[in-house]
Amino acid sequence: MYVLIWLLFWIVCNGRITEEILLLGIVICSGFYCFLCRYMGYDWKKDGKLLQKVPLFLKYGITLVWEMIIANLAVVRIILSPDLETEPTFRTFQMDFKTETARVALANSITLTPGTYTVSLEENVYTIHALDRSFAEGIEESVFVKQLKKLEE
Amino acid sequence: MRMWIAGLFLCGGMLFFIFSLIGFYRLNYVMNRIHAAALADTLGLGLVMVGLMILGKDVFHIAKHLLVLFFFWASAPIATHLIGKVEMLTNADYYERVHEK
Repeated sequence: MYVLIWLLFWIVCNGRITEEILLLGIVICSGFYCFLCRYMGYDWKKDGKLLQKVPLFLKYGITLVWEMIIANLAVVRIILSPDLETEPTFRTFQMDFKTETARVALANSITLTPGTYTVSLEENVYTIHALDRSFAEGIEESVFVKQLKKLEE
Repeated sequence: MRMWIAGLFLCGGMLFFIFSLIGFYRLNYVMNRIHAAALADTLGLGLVMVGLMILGKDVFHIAKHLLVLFFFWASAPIATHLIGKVEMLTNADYYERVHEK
């Protein structure tokens, strides 16, 4: 899984495909992956499972872009309104994710959608700042949370 | 035709940069300004990159633009988060934090 991604990255950075580039890429990527398995606790059996989740990752990416567009338009509406009718708020909530990756992914997704961003993330407790009260409401049941929970399984 | 579609995307991206700039000057407090700055980072950059992808000559061009977008979107939230956290930790004035626009 990771070897494939790195190989793709290698080819894209090279800008063309020849036998030499392909062979060298396979050798370097496999060597690097062996190093990670040996010293940093990567496991090829666990990574095989990730391969099945590729559609879910793609779905998450598309959802993220879509939410980003909606949030952008909402913020533009506030910025261009004549008297800036907003109510900036802080909000603290708790999410019970099992893995750290999911926590960070949610924090980054919240920050990437304009209108809300994560101020602090300690263990399971998120503190977010929202430009308007309406952005902060219902953030615990947002689409991100549902999809991340599905990804975690 | 391709030029026109790409131009449309590029102009759209620039429009978001302009909105971002307007918001940056209209809002006064740093934590709210971050929201305005995020407009340029996300959809502004995204539209410009899509425009450039349409203009791209081959698959590798497009893939490199996708990579730029991916790395930018992966790293930009960290800077936002740090600015927000520093402001939260150093500004003890609760009233300004909550009520200032």
